Amino acid sequence: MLAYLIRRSLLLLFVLFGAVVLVFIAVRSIPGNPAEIMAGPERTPEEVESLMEQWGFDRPLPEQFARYLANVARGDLGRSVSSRRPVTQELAERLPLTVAIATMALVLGSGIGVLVGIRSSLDRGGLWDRVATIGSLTGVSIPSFWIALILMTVFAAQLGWLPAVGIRSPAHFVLPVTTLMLEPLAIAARQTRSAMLEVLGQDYIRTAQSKGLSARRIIRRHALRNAAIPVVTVLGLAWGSLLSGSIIVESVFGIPGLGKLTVDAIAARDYPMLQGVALLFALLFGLSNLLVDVFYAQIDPRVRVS
Amino acid sequence: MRLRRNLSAIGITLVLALAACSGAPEATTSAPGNPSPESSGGTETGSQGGSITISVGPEIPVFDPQLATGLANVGITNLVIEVLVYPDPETGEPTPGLAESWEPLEGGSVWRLNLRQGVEFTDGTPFDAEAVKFNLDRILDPATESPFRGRLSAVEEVLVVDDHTVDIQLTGPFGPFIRLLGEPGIGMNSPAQVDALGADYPTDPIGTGPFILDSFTPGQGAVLVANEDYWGGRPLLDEVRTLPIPDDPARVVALEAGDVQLIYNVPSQDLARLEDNPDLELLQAPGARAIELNINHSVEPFDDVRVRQALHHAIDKQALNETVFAGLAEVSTSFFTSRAFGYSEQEPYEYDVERARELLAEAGYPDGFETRLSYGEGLYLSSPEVAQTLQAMLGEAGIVVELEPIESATFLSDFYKPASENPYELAISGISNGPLDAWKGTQHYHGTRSGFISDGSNQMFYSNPDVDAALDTGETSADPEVRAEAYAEAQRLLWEDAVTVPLYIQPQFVAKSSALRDVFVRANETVDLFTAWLAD
Repeated sequence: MLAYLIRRSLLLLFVLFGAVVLVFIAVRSIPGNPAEIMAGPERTPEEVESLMEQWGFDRPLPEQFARYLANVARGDLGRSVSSRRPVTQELAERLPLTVAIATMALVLGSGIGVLVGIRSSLDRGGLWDRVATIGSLTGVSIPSFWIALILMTVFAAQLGWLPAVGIRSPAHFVLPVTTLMLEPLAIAARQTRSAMLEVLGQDYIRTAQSKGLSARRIIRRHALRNAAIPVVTVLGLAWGSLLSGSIIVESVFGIPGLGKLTVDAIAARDYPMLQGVALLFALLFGLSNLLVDVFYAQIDPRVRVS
Repeated sequence: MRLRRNLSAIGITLVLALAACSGAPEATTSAPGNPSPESSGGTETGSQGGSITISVGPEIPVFDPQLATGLANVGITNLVIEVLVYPDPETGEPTPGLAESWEPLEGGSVWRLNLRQGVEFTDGTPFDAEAVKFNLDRILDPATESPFRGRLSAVEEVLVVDDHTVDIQLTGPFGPFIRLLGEPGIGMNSPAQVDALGADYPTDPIGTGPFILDSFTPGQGAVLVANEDYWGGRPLLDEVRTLPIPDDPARVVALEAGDVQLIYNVPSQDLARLEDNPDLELLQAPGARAIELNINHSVEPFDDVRVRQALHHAIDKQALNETVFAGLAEVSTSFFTSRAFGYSEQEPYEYDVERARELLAEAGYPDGFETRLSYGEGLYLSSPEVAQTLQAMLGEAGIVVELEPIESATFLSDFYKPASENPYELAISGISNGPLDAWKGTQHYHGTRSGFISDGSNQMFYSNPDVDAALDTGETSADPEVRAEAYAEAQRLLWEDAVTVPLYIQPQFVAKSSALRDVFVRANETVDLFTAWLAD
C-alpha cells in the first residue's frame, strides 16, 4: 500500500510540473499583457514598456521560466501584479472559502443524490424514478450562472428571504451552495441508480433475498457497498468540476474565493497570480484523484496489484 | 416614453443643481467641485447617519489611487485620498481641492499651486508643499509602478516654494496641465504613512478625505467611516462599504434585493425594469467618453476620403441613439463632448443613404464592399447593440459588415498595434476625457506626435501636418483664446477629412436606492458621496 502511495504521489508531482509549464506558456500566449491592462485603454508605449521591465516580463522566456521554477521550489510564487501582495498570501486567504463552499456542495449534493438514486432504483420505471431522471438530467444541463441568477431573483430580490451577494453570514452560503450542489446531486443520483440496478440484478442479491434478509439489510450490507465504486469515481471527478464551477458561481455571487480571484487575474493578465491559481487548482484536482485512487485500493485489493 | 421622460427630469434636476453652485471657486465650505447639500435642488435637508454599500463592479485591487486601476475604483479611493483639483461635473473646469488656486508662470512651463492651509492627514501629518512634492515624486518614480506616471510625463521637477506653495516645472509650456492634476490617480497620500509602511501602504492608507479607510480586504471590499475632522465638514453618512460584484445582471439583482444601495454600469437592457421599480432611482451622469467608429486608413478602401465620408452619410446617429440608448446619449457633433474646453460644433454630415452610395461609386465602389467591424466585449456600454445597428445601417448603403466581438484585453492589445500588424478595419473605440479638454479629445489624431504624453494611439494611421500644427499650438499654449482657436481649426480639418465617425458620448447610468439622496457622479466616471445621505 505504501509503495502504491509513493508511486501515485510521484506521478502527481510530474503532473504538477506539466501544469506549471503549460500554464506558464498559456498565460503568455493570450493576447494582451499585464502592463497594457494596468496602463489602461489609453496609454503610451513607454508606460507599457517600463512596467513590463519593472516586473521582468520583458526577459527571454526561458530565463523567466528558470527564475519562476527556482522561486516555486522555494515556495515563492511571486507577487500579484494587480494587488501587489504575495501570491501565496492571496491564495491562502481565498482557498478556505472556495473549499468550504465546494465541500458543502459536494457533501450535500452527493448525500441527497445517493438517496434519490437508491429510491429511483427501487422504483424503476415508476413515477418517482421518472421525475428523478428528468430532474437530474435538467440538473446537469442547466448552466450554473443561469440557476444562480434565477435563485437570486426569486429568493433574494422577490421573496427577500436570503441575501443575494457577498459572504458575511451563514445565510449568505445558502444560494451559492444550492447552485453548486445541483450538479453533484444529479450526477450522484444517476450513478447510484444505475450502479444499484446493476448490483440488484446480481446472483448474490438473489441469494440474500432467498436467505430471508430484509430489503433494508440487503441494500445496506450488499448492494450499496458494491455500488459504491462507480459512485465514488464520479464524485471524485465532480469535485474537480465543482472547483471550476466556483469560477462562475463566485463571480455571480461576489464571493471572494479562488474562482473570483481567477476571473480577476485573467482580466488583469496577472501572470504570477494566474500561475499560482492554476498550480493550486492542479494540486487540488490531483489530490482528489489521489484520494479516489487510495479509496479504490482500500475497498478493492485488485487495484493495488495492477 | 415614461423611462425617457423621468430620466431627463432627473438629468435636468441634476443640471440645475450643479448650475446653482458652479462659479465661486473660492467657496470652501462645500465639498470640492460639488454643490453643498442645501443647494442641491432637494427640499429636504440631509440627516446625519446611516451606512450604505455600493458596487462599481470589479473589485478594487489595491487601495491607493496612485496604484489602482479602473477609473470608477480609483474614484472610490478619492473618498479617502483626495486630489489637488476636482473637475467641475458640468464644465470640467478645475475647481479647488487640496490646491486652493493656481496660475501658469513662464507661459505655462511652470504651474504654481497655492495649497489649502490648515489641512492635516488623518494621522496628524500636515498637508503642505513637501507632501505634494512627495506624492508627485512618488508617482514619477518608476519603482512605484504607478499607471499614472505617463500622465505626469511633462513634469521635470516639483519645487517647494514655501510651506503652502509649490511650483511644478514642466519640460515646456503645456496648457491643459492643471486639468491633469484632477485625474483621480493623482491622489495625495500621507508621506509619513507611506514611509512607515512601504510596500504595505495600500493595506492602511491615510489621506485627507471626507472618509477614513477602516478596513480593506482584497476581494471583499472596503469599509470607509466618516472623517469627523474633514476640512470641508463631516460627511452625512457614517459608513460606506464597497462590494465587488463583477457580474452585470447579479449587480442589478443585488440592488433590487437591497444588498447594495448604489451600483455603477447598469446594463442598458435593465434600464426599463429598474425605472419601473419605485424603490429605485436611475441617474444619468454626464459622460465624457467619446465613442467613435474608428477607421483604419492604412487599409483599402478607407484611404479614400470619399469612402470615409460615405460612412458618415450612411450612419443615422440620431436613430442609433434612439435604438440603443432610448435617446439618452449626447450625439457627437465634433470629436468630443460639447462640455469640454475647446469644443467647436461641426456641420453634421446629413443622414443620406443615396449620397453615401454616390460617394462610394465615385470612389470606385458602385456595388459597395465588404469589411469587418470589431469591438471589445464589455469594454464600452452596449457595444454589441451599437455594432448590430451600425451593421444594418451600413448594409443599406451596400457596405457588407461582418461583426467581430473580441475579448476586451485582446481587443485593446491589438488595437494599439502599428499599422503593419493591426488586424482591424472598422472598430468601436472610446476616448475618455476626464480633463474635459480639447487636448484629450484630439491628441490621438496627431500624425507624428511631438510634445507631451506621446500616446501613440493614432489608430487611424492618419497624418495631416496642418492638424499636427494646430494640435501643437493648442497643447503648448497657456492662453485660453489661442488654444480655443487652434482646436477649432484642428476639429474643422479632422471633420472634413472624416478621420473617424464620432457617434455619441457614452452615457453613464448609475442606479441607486430611492432612500439614498444627493449622490453626484463626476464626468471622469467617479462618484462623490460627500453630500450623500440616507432618508428614512
